[in-house]
Amino acid sequence: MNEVLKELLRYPAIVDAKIVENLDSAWTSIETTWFTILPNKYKAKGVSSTGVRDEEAVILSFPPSYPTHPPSIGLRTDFPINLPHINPHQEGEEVPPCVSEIPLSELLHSLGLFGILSAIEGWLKNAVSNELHDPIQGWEPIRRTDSNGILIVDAFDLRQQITKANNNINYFRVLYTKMQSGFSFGGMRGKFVGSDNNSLRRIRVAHNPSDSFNLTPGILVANQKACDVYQAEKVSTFEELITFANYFELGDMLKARYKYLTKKIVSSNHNHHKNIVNDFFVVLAIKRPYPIIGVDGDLELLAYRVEASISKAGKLQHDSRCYPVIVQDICTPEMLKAVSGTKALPGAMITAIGCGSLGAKLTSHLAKTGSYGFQLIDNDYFSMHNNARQAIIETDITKLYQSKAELLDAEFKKLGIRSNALSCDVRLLDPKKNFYAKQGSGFILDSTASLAVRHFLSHDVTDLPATLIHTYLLNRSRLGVTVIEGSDRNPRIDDINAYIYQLGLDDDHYHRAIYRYDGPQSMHFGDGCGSFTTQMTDMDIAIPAASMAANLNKIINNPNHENGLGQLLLTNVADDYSVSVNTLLLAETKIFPSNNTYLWEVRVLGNVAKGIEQGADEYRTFENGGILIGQFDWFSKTLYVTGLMEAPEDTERSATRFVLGTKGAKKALTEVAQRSGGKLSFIGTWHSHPNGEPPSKLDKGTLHKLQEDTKLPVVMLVQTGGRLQRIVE
Amino acid sequence: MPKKSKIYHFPVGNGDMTLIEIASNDKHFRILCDIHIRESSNRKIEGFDEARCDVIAKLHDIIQTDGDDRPYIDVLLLTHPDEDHIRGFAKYFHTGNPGDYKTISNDDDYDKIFIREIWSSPIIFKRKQANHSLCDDAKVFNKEAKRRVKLYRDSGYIGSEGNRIRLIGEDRDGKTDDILNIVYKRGSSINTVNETYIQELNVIVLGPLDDGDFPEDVDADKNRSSIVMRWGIASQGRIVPTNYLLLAGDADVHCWEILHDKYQFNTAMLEYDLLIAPHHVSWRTLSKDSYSESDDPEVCDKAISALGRARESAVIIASSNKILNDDNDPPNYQAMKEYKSILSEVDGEFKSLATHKPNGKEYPEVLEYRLTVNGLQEEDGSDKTDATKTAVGMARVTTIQIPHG
Repeated sequence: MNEVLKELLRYPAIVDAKIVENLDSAWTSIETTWFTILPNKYKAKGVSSTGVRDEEAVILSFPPSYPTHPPSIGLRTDFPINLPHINPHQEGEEVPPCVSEIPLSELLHSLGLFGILSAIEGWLKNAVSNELHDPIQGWEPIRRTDSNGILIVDAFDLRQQITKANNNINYFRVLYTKMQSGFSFGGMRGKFVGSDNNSLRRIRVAHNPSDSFNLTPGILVANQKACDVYQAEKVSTFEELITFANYFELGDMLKARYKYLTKKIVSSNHNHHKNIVNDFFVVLAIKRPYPIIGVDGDLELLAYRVEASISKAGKLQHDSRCYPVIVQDICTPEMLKAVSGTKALPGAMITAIGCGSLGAKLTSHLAKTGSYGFQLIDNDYFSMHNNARQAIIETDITKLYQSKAELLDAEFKKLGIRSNALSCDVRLLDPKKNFYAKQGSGFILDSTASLAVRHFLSHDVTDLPATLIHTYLLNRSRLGVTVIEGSDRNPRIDDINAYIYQLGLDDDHYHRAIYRYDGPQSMHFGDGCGSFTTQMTDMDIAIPAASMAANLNKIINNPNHENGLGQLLLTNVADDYSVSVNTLLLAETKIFPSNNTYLWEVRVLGNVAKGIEQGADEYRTFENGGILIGQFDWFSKTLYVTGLMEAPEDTERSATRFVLGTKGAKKALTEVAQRSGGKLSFIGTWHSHPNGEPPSKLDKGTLHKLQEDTKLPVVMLVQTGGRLQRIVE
Repeated sequence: MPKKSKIYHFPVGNGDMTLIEIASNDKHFRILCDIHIRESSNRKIEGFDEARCDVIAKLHDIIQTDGDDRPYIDVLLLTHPDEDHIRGFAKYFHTGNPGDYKTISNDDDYDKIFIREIWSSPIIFKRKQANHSLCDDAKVFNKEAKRRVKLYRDSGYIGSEGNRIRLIGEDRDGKTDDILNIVYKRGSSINTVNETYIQELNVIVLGPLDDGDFPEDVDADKNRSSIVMRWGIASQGRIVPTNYLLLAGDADVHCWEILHDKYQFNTAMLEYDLLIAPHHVSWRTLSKDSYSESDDPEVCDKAISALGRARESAVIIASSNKILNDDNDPPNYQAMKEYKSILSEVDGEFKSLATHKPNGKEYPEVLEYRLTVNGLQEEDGSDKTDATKTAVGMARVTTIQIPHG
């Protein structure tokens, strides 16, 4: 303690420090005297407008466990308490300032005793210059020392109602119970019933003996003019409540109306010989000059329960006991938005297909912003092993084997957000009729990682009511894939997935994730031979899922950002779990529909069409061309042109002919096929007509021959007259 | 911790150097008004005078670096181009294309300070050049100001940071008529700094005065052309100013006489909580009589009245050498007494930067005030030892050889 004393005396703002004798305690108290620099206009008086003097005593009490635990800080017992950032205390005790936003123990261990002294000095400096209130930080709510109850309200909705209402006085219903200690627990029921006294008729006063809950009225009084009075609360009787309310110009309103509340209680109890309810509630709604700390709004709510003592003449005694009760918010989307800082976001309705480990995590992250509503579609049931990686935790055997959609829906409903579950196979639905998400206000999110569902969404359904987003994880969750269709479904998810195959071919980094990794480490869990799952931790999925959800949140709330282009986000998780995201924009796919002659639809990816155009421009007066790489999808009879291979070096070009060479072509194409595990192969050729002629007889003949030779629906494209055409026989 | 607004007065002898730091929207905006950085005030240079405050080090301690690691200020305001208001500009501040900025690669000097926006008056340069030559630093400043004006003139829009300029007062002969969008006329109010609106700020442009404002018998004098501004600053998050600062460069007695007449029915425009005594406590700010040549020099009542609008507990700052009862001017001992007389009516305080040596220091220190809801609040100016300073102190041990046996 001697060292501490020396350090205190070295601190410039401390003019004196001495240990205070206290034989009754193992704690050591040191009384320090601090020099506070008053604002100029108060220097002569020696005290500021806030009542803080130019010299103030600060008692630092050090526990025996110091420095494991920090000292407590106390100001003189008559220090002005009409200031914010003072901790709760009783009258007659040292006044404890709240000098730091972080716990004192953390401050002590990061900056030493110097940190605490610096915080005290800063606090005193602000106290003396009336700068403890900081509009940036927010208005500090009035300190409540003697709370004896909780009143649960939808505070966000309440604040909105007050703002919209033209009246400053509103009656409401309360359902509450009281414990023997006097502690009350209750909640506001529904919206305001009205502001005129007749509306009290709509409120029942009753006691339910089976659960000991009571119904009773309450009154809320509000002011419209901002009030910057910070007044310490001292309310234990109704009289004191009126006095306190007067500071905020609310006392008169209360005085005008309380007798109607009294009358209501008296008349309601008139016929009851037992179970008398004699409480009513009061809420003061004080408008502040700026938002309250931690609240999305500038209305401070102070609630009270008045235990009415009523005279024989039916009048409320002003010494009726009055208990401050804490206003407790319920979980609502508005609260979630305020805490998440997402109030300004428009949000969306998400039709989420797939509530597995990825889908549940993505939707949970989005749900907790408060900005989304959900339609959850999944007919898969929840098994015990799902607890290892699901956002849902469920071990109650009566809940197991419920659909994941239903369980997730139950979780979302706890947050107060809009949610609905559909336990069925999405392939049996008609998206136009059954999906809630609509264009302009919603999105469809497919996280099933099911190729069958992808096929359904790509080929069985032509129109979707909202933009489709498709997500999945590869390579033991080291690669997260997010695909967002372009406007009018072009490019479509199957186009972008075809692009991914090409990307894996061209880029070594993605090749491993897309085409080969070191096996799934599958294990068998649960009944049935189909019930295997890949061994991974919850963290393995959570890491990419969080990044994917954050990017989805950004994209959903800025939908026009990429001008309708398709988007592919590749979320890469490195060995050290750091995350990087590669975002690619994909232009419109050039589509050649099937017809009577050619039964296959040809979809040329936007970047490939661009490449052909550039290739044609390279040889303005000669025909140019090359090899097309792509993928055949036999189920849908769709041919995806995903890449270009340069013409071999023995290719011949002239103004009227393009003869594709052969040197090295077979070897290169074999490598493509092998490297892509057979997903990609030769699918045709392209060439250009510099003078804009249509496909020639030679072109058509060559096409026929190629198709005959390969027994495949090989395609030939020609860039002519500034556009790309498919050659048909 | 929430940010607070402050004003810093650098002790620079007979010169001015003031930094106003405004807290708004949880950021700091810094306006440096005039500079006077003498070589002997730089500890890194040989010949450093231990009796002086290392003002350039202090300035770098306060300002921050931007995303490109450049120390920067939001605005440099030059009241007028006298050497004692612009000394050190060429050496310590970046000029030219922002893209050409280069950091200093050694510890022997400071990175140049990047100026996001300049505020200056074209007419004051013309008046100065008509009567006296510009010092080297003023020439460099003038060139930089002209570069920025040209950029605006050629493009028609306000450029990026480092290319911005605002002109205080119009130029004569309509020379600024085509660029009035970047001109703050006399009488206008400013609440934008570096193109950012600041609700806590309201600056009234009181000068420079026009030629036509002066009587015909008054000779052209550079001191008439000082920018004169009355700053109203509210605490962060608030709108109503609770701190008024009056900064007037070297504006002389004629200027104050005219301002008295202009605002005699609106004296609130001249009220202040803090005044930097113009022209380093010069007698010629208060009187038309030469102090040394007159037997009984008299103050100009109107000038005294204009400068006498001190609010309760106001402070008047002497940014000058030590004030002695001698024949020097500036500073002038009798002028100091006049200011003290003004302050005696309002329980105010006269502060000399030359003698502001808090906590027993041997050299003058920067005088700081917080600008609070309750008005000016002086900072104690003590050096607090903390972990960083202790660690830095340890490094100094290695500047000499440490022998081992």
